[in-house]
Amino acid sequence: MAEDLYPIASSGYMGDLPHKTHSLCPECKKLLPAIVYADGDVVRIKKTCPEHGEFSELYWESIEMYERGRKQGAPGKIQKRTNTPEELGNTGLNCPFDCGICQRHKSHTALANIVATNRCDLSCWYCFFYAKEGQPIYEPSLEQVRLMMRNLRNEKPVPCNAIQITGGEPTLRDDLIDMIKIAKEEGIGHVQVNTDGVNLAFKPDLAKQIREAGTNTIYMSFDGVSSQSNPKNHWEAPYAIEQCRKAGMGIVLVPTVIKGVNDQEIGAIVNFGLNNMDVIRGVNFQPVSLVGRMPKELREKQRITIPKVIKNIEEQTNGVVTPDDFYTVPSIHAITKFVEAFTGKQKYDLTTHFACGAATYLYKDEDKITPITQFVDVDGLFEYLTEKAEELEGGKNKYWVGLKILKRLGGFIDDGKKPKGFDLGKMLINALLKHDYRSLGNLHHKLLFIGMMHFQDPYNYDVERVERCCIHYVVPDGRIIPFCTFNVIPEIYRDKIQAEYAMTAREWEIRTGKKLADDKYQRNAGELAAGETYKKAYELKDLFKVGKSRQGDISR
Amino acid sequence: MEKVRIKRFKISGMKDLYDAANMQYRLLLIDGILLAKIDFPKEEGVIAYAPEELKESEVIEAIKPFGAEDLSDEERSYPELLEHTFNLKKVQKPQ
Repeated sequence: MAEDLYPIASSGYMGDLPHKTHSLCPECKKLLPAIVYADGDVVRIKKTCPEHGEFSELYWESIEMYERGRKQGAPGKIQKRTNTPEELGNTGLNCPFDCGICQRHKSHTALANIVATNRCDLSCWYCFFYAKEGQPIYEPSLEQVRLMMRNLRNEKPVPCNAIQITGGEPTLRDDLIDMIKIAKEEGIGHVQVNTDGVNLAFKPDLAKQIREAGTNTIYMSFDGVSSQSNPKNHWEAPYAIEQCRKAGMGIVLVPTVIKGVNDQEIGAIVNFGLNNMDVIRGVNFQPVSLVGRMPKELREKQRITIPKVIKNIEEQTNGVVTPDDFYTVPSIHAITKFVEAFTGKQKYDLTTHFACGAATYLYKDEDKITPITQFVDVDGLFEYLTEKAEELEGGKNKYWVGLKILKRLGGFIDDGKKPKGFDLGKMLINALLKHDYRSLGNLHHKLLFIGMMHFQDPYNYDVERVERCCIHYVVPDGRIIPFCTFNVIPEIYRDKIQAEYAMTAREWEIRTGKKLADDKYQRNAGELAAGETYKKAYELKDLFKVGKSRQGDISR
Repeated sequence: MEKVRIKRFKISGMKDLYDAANMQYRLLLIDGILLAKIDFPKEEGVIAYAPEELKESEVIEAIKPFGAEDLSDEERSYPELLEHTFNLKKVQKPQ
């Protein structure tokens, strides 16, 4: 029983294992006390519902990585302006049923999702986002979109500066370009569009229009290099990538990783990204979130967590990328802390829970791939910046501290191992002291971001993670809701709010003069596979020298 | 939606914070209840509901099983409530 561990469990963020937190009953969504604990080599979470019994679920597949990640956690950033009505009480006492954002929340919005539509051109069996036949259509008006953006820009102490227009399939909206322009008008710095790529592939000017309207990045689903692993857009992705290449718009590939389905192609996806670095900026793996009721055997068959994805990367890249190359998201707080101390202003700060995500950068020099962490002493650099931030906070002169940094920074880079022409010291000085990020931006063509973000489900739900979430949804009623409450408790958030602002399918058809059935995409795989763009896209250099069989066989 | 009603009530039978959170969840499941807050330490609750979708008598029926005592019910302008509570009012368009 979970209760057995209570007397010895720690409490408070970043506490030792076993650790007290809160979770939900996957059956009735009752809020329950829970324990995160070590079980052999892995970390599990356990809770007991008085009605539905005990649930024990895999939390992180490596104690060693959990412990390293735990030490990289960052303190929270209290929100000065909340988005729950004060007169209705916004203490967050009943988290996660009080979203959002409430006084209890400890991270600002780093990326806000705006759902453009719940219509989709695909009908993937596992997807819970899109409107099935006859279901209401949710499409906020441009006026509502503008209000939502203003709401985000009005967050304090740090206004949201990055949005993702998502769906359904956002490119189905005829006024998507207007939405992007509104985001820019309202002062949003970074705009990304989350798409399956089908419309990008076939509408010749769409990528260009999206880019010219102000989009920075396409966030494109890409579950593998073979058709078996990626039935969603295996045939269309090469054409979409080509259109983005022509439009000069970067892409982040987003594979959802499911054990036994596509986890054997994780290395091949990284290799695919490295082969297309002129347009692909990163790969952001998302270990599957098991929504809906699912028997334990099936969950164990499909469940994969961040450490296992990282270990698969190591195995499938011939040991080139190792677990030590990955840092949890909040570890970056050291840089923010320093910049805040240096400038005296609150900055973007990724204070998300350490178990939510991890990342690294791979440097490509000709055909040689080196994780940046293998020639930069990241731990030493973060420690040094933290120390300097504390000195600044203690009243030391910022120019004196700046000079010390100039002198010391190069020492964190291993000249023997660093690639030729790589002057990180100069780049960091420009970024940290002069706030000139151009040289870092130029690195995009040499560096590939490899990240992962594990969204929760009712089985592994941890309220401590929710209260530090920095990926939010903004909705027309003014609330800004963490991803893992919006989608894990849809009956009181996503579905309820969207129903409130939706119209019936029939009404949508009358208003637009269109037929919903016409949205659906019909694939001609043979024709697509015969195209030169397709063939060229999957003719990949084996950069990790793993052999053809490990690269992902596209003929499967 | 133009109008919203705010119902406030007292609750004395809550066992603990979990009990209060679960009551809040149960209330939020009801169509027409837009927002709900059960404050365990203060032993009170408040609901914002859409009068077009839910009658006051239905709201009272919904809170009764939790031992709630009705206190007040007032009508408010929904757009004004949103503007006021969700920081939409004093927004300045960036230059």
